Amino acid sequence: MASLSFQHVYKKYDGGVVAVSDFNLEVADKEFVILVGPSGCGKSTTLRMLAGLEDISEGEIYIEDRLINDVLPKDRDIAMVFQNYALYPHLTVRENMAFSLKLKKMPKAEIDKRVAEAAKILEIEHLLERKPKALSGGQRQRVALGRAIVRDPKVFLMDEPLSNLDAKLRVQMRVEITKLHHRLKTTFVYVTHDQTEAMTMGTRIVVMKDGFIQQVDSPTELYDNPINTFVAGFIGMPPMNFINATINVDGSDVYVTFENVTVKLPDRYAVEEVMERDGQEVIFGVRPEAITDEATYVTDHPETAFNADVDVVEMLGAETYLYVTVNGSLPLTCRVDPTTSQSTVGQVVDLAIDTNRIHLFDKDTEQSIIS
Amino acid sequence: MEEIKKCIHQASAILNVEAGVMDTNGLIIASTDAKKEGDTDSASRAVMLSEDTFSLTSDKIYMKIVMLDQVRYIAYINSTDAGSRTNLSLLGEWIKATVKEHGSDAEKELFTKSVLLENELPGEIPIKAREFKINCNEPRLVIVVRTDADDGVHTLDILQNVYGDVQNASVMAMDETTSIIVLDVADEISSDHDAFMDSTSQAILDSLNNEGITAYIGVGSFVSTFQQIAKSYRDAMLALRVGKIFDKGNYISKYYQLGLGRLIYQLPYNLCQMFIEEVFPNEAYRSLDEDTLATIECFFANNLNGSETSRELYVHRNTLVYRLDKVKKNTGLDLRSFDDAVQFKMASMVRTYVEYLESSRDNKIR
Repeated sequence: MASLSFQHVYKKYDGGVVAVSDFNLEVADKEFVILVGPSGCGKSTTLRMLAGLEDISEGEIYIEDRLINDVLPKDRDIAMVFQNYALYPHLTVRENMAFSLKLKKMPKAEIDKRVAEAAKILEIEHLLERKPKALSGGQRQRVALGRAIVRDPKVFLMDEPLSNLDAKLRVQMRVEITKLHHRLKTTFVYVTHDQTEAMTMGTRIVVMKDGFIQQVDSPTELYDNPINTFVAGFIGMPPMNFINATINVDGSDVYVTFENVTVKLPDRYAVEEVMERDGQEVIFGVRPEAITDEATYVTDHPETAFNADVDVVEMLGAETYLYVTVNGSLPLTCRVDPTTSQSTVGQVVDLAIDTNRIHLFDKDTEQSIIS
Repeated sequence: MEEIKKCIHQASAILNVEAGVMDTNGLIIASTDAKKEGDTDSASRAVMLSEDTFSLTSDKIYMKIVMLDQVRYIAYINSTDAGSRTNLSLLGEWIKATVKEHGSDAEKELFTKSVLLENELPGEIPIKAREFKINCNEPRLVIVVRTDADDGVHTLDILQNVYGDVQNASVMAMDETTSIIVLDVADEISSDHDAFMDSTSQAILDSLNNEGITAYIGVGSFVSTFQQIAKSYRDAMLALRVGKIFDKGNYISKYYQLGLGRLIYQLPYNLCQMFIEEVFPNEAYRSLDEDTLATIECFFANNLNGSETSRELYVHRNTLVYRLDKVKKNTGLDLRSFDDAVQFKMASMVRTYVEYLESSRDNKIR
């Protein structure tokens, strides 16, 4: 169990490449922090710096109050789980789990005790005498977790551990890892490019892009209050609709206009940051579920209603995605309720926006206008 | 000795009396009772003087282990009952077979190293290979793993476990920092070579990282016969060296991905200096600050696309234009032009290489 502190951490390579820039983060003891972002954003590099597998160019990393910049990986009291299970094929599960402890010359009795405990936690006691090739993907992943658990580390580091699993198993293992975190009560740092994994597992999420932290927040905050278009677009599936729109102020009322559609914004947008942009272009962000085709809602909210051509209808069971085009040029994605939606392909459908769930971003900086 | 210890350790699970092996001076090198290891048995002199294979004392039976007409070890069992003699015979034969097998493995490893280092005559390789049951006609791939000297022993241990059940994969240590894997890739010949190299090298790196070992991996090229493994080894070593210079952020360097770096690495120092002087006269490169260099790197990564670069760097397009103009002013090269961009890229790589050659201290592990 340990807290972590990253202070102005940089990873620079010769020739000007900066993989991680001014990374500052405090991780509390027992937290489950997720580093998420697209490929090349610096998330794995950050994790590797924490693990000691990568030199730190600038800044300081602390585990508890101990500066670990120059501490060898094996002396950092961490354990890593990778995408590759890294299991030894000719050793049994028991031997695989015991391997790193044997390297440390730990007494056999202690090794046996730790392996038994970890196997019990992971419910793989019946697999201990099997070899990896006799295990399923999920079981192998559990053994990989077991190898980390036996070390009894202060911090667990996981680098895309579920990427090799099929979609169904990934969902199952997501739950398993979350449960494991609750059971072990240890600090977890988890790297993924999958926003669903990030949203479902983390107590806090660090969204990264091009080596910079974009936003650090709880999953709900990230979803509801993204600070820029990158975070808004990265978190959420289908992604947020971004519409180039113009702000129009009429007295104390604020409107956004796009493609001959005018939408009145709620009173909370009648603030200086928005009002001063009268006549200016902004990026209007609308999540797919904030656009509805429900007839009563559309009738009750004429100030946010518009119509669009339905191009594609995707029925997913619990929800339906409508891919529509406004005014023949603006494509939008809507997530609607299949029990009430009557929309069909080729139809002109009446839609309305729930303006309590919209976002405004600056056109140049792409930062949220209202924080 | 390790192989004998392993035998005795396994025997301890079968025998219910103490048994062990000593050298010809009576020094116990392995025993089912680990506390006895290192002790000396004074009866060994009498055993050696005896002409019989078996010798008996009041509480022990001894058996000479003869290999190549020489007594190499003495096995003993701490019991004199009738069955013990049979047990000791079996133990003796087991140890003999193990030592012989290990000796053959060691010779095979020595031979493979010899081929890797081109110390064998090409005509003799197939003949000797036949002795070691090496199939010369199957394709091979050599992977070089470099770690810190402190991690060398563990690295070999880990790699031997990674390839423990893979037949025809040889793992050996070249020195305290370098381990070599020679893979028989007959099964992969029809598959995607690049994907195989990627997954194999990544699995090796992950296994070592998992044990807290930082490693650099050089992947050679596929060769069609065992005789050519020296080429694959050379390529892997070159990948490691060139990767160290031009691709510092990567822990895995593959020969087939070295690109321009491979060409520049072959250039003589004087030619490199002349080229740099021509492209960056009066050390013009030094006038470029860190921000500008990062901008150039990003501009190249985005295939000279200004909009994409400014978006990625969070700078206004005019700022990017200003920075590129500054580069043009300082170096005379307009990076928006393809020819100038190529020249700049080449020259900066050559400069990186020259800096590497000039660096007096190079203690990194790669």
